[in-house]
Amino acid sequence: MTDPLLSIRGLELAFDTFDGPYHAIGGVDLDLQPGEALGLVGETGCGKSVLTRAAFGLLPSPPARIVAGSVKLGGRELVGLPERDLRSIRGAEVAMIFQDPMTYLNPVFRVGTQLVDAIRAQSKGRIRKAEAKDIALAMLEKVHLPNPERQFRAYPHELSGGMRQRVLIAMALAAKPRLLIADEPTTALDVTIQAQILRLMGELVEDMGLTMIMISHDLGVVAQVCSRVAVMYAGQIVEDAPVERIFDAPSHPYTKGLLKALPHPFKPVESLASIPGSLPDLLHPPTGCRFAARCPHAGPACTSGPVPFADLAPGHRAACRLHLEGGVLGGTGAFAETA
Amino acid sequence: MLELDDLRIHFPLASGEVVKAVDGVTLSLAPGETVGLVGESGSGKSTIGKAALGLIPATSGAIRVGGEDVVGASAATLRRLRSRAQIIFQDPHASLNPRMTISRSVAEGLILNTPLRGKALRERVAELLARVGLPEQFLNRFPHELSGGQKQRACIARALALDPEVLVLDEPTSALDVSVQAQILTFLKELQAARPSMTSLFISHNLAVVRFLCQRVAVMYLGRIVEEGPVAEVFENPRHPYTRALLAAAPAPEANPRAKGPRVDYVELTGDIPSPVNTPSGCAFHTRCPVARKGICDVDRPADLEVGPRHRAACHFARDLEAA
Amino acid sequence: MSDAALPAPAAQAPAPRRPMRFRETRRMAATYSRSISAMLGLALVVLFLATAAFGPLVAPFPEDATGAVNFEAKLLPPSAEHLFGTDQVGNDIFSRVLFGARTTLQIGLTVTGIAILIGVPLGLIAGMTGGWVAETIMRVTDIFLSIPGLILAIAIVGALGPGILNAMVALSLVWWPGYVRLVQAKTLSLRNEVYVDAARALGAGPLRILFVHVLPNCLSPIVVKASMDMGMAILGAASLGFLGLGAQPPFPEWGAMIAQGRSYLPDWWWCAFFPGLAIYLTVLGFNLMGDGLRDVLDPRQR
Repeated sequence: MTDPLLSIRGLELAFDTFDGPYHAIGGVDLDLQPGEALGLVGETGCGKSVLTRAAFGLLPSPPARIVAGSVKLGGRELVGLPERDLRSIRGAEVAMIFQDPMTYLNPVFRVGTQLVDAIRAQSKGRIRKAEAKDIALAMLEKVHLPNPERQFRAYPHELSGGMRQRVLIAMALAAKPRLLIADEPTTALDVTIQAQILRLMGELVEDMGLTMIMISHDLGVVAQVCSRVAVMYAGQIVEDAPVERIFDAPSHPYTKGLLKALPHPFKPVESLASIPGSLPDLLHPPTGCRFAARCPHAGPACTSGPVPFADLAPGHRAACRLHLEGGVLGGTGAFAETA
Repeated sequence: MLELDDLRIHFPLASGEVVKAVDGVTLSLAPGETVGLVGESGSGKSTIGKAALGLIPATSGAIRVGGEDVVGASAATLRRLRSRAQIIFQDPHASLNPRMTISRSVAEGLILNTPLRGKALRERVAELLARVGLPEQFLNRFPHELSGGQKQRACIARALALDPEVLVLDEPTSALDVSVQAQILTFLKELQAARPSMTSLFISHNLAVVRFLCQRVAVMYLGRIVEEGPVAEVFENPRHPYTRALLAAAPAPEANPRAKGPRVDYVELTGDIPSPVNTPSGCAFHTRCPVARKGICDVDRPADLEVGPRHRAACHFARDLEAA
Repeated sequence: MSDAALPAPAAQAPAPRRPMRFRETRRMAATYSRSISAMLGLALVVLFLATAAFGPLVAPFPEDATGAVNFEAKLLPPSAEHLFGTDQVGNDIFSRVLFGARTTLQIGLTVTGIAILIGVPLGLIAGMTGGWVAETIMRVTDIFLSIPGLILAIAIVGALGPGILNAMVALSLVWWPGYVRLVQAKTLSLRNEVYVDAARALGAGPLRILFVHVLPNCLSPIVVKASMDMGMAILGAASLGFLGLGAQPPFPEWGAMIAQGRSYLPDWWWCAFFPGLAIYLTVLGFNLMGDGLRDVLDPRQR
């Protein structure tokens, strides 16, 4: 069992707001093995983007504040590292791509210039311009941009959304980082273009032995590229499983609720079950399971203290007492003490 | 109830070029039907939605709402139109005036079109909001105090205030989370049952949602309808190459995405969607089509061919493609 | 007609600790008060307003503001009796400064008020309509804006004759184009908002859209600009007064007082210094307050 590339333990993060601390992340444990493609899914406000940004110091420090926990990249602790060190890690070892490619490319510089700048910056100036240009062109080809020479000389507004996203991927991967974090990379793209980009990302993951975290609110998107899926709710991971098991054997009530609420293009669905209630107020987070207020199976033990993970199968864990007791709950609120 | 007859909407650009947003669309919605309009960017679906309400002027063709043509209509006709057709927009955060309370926003249609005022108006607004699940305390709140789902409900209440016969929904749930989307979709489905005479045009890029809500679907590409028919039929038996590609690309919530729907070959499209400024000659799709043939597809615009009961596709080879 | 009913969303958050109604106002007030410069600005403006309101009541030598002459007391340095000293005709400068505050306030309010009354409607019209009406308005605005403000004001006063009223007219004519630009730009962007489309779909005509939907959303930039403009208008009036084109002596207008005091520099520095200080502090106050308001009302524009 190799050491995980990324290891997060007990991470807690709060935002200091006008109304008090907002506990955006409430204790997250996550391990990422080298070469894995993890999908981080959840709805708005679950903390998926905050989690990855917090891990690499990308959140402005007031108001964000890491309350507790550790984040280790290749064994090296990141929490508490000075900004200078974090900056050298970002770009070179960890690369991020974001949702809207237009706002992440400078409109007044040519694509090639930005690529070359990024490559040289990530190498800390050791690579010269000519060499960087070769690397850039090679990357543009790798992301299947037709006619790389021409794209190199183009301005961002001359490219379509899909092409710009490819450029961003090229920029992110040029320094051969160990970890790629893709935050909703295809949400702003059309469906057919999205399919192309997802296929590209899957290819790159295999080709380059890349480790990747893909953040999305769309389970379908994540299913196409990732081998493992972690579901987040209100700042906590509630279920973590290989991709087939998430769809075939969802175990956490929230995951089940999510899947029941999704319509399917090819299977006629009579009705969509919605999850009653709404997100808890993270200014005063509930003790214990943050989903308990909306859970049809919740019992008194659920809100008394932190919920440990239950191991359901190799690589499949769910933070739910239902499975911990190994038993079936009888009705709402009743608890079977034994299996 | 809602008829589009060879509708063309072209926007001239300053450079002299023309954006052919809608390029010859003919579609007919019977009273009580919910028809989905799907497509990607540049397909023209949103443009059609707004044009049906008279918000965008059409260049040629006709849009008939309950028999009355909206294109080039007089002010009096447009005023009548307002009470017969309504629209719900995509972005709930932008659809409500940030400086007006929810009740005032919802009341707008009533103030403009009915003599209701004062107490009677307030009561009607409260009733409308209650029906979409927004109880009393929401009446005097401002939009920024509501969540996305709640704002969209308020927009639905606003649109339903005038009891429209035709409802256009422009991506109403795209900006919402899965569980909120499920609630709104369930509500819309119940609404269909409660108002069987109301005709709906449901514009979306999300095929799953369209499958859930619509009886018929029309697929658009670059301003033209490429396929149209009963939704189950079109999704399971697509006869236009673009529809096939769209269905193949649609992310489905399942573990093995390659094992898609029953009979669709996996076809990934290369290249980008052309801009509606430079619509390709002949069949708009020929630049990316896996079965396009030179000399035919790039020259002649395909006519609608009948490929099944009430199912048509605009492809030269629609009948030849294996029903698979 | 029985309709489908959506389940009500579960209680949002537990009731917020402060009542919803004024929460936004409170938040804005709290943000504003966190900025030292903004609070300083506010303090200066309040001081100015208080002086304008109550100054004439507490002035030790009120007759000095209206032209009394007292040659024995001429050019006395600041002392307990004459806090700011006396000028060349023996008038107590402190009293004159206090009286001058009222004039200054009048000028600032009038000029800004008239500029808004002219500029905002023109800007709204230019933004809402298109075509030659908008073009004409904007070109005329451009013409006015291309002439340096003070020069234009001087020219107008020169044509109308010196005097405080004419100075105000001149300054108003110089100020209104700025509002046209601001409002036109904002209106253009608001016109394309989704909620405007929604209103049109509900049957709203252009006038209704203008007053109900566009105008209320234009207000914050107008408020910010107005508060900065108060300072600038006061400075403008003082400049005209300094040039002898505004208030005429013995009117206690601060600019005119500096002009008078200029000849007595540097030995009798207090004649020019104190009115100058008054202008400085007042303008500074309005500028700081305007900055603070902008940060609070539209943080994106920082």
